[in-house]
Amino acid sequence: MAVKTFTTGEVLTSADTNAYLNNGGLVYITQGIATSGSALAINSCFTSLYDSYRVVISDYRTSVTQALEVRLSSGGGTVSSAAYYWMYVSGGYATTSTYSQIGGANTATWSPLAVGDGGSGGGSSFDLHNPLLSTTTEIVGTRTDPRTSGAVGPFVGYKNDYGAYDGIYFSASAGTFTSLKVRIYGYRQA
Amino acid sequence: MDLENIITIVDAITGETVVREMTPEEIEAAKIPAEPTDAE
Repeated sequence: MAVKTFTTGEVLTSADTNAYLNNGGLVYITQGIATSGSALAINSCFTSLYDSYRVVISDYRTSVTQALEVRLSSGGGTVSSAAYYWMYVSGGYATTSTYSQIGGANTATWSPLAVGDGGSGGGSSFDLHNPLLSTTTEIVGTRTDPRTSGAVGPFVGYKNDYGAYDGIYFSASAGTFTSLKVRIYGYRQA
Repeated sequence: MDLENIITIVDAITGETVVREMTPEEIEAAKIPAEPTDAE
């Protein structure tokens, strides 16, 4: 049972705390922090405990303007660079900006879900559904862009294979990371 | 050392973080192909 209703005066036990309070809702799994280089690999973070995950990106700073590339990996770090499909509808920050649709079919990564622009601290978040299950993996998020001329909007995609992926891999389209913080959470299941 | 070939690797099971140079195989595997492959 995923939820318990506690009554007035009921004793809160360690078992109930661990079962219902510590693991309620989004459950923290791990974090990866890069302060250099052009790649961040977080291996073995997707397990049979959860079907769906929340990936949160923060303090994303770069040596040059770049796009954050996202891929899945398996077997403790083997990166898959094929069969990614994605699309985002974007507009600029001006009130009368023009909207456009940008997409990628059967590409090597999901990108660009976030943009890094030097010292501007980029960030974003997205959900991943089914990464470890033997079916397609879906990504649902928002493209962010910390530039006054940036393009932002909803981002959706999937990986067109039935692979079981237990890790995630971030890379820079150009230059290096001076900071990239990624936290991964699992959506609690009953 | 080419900073662009540095990778940070986190093992979610052990909690260990390693920062090192990518091997030639890892560099090659991480490259984005110029043309997408046909998965059909």
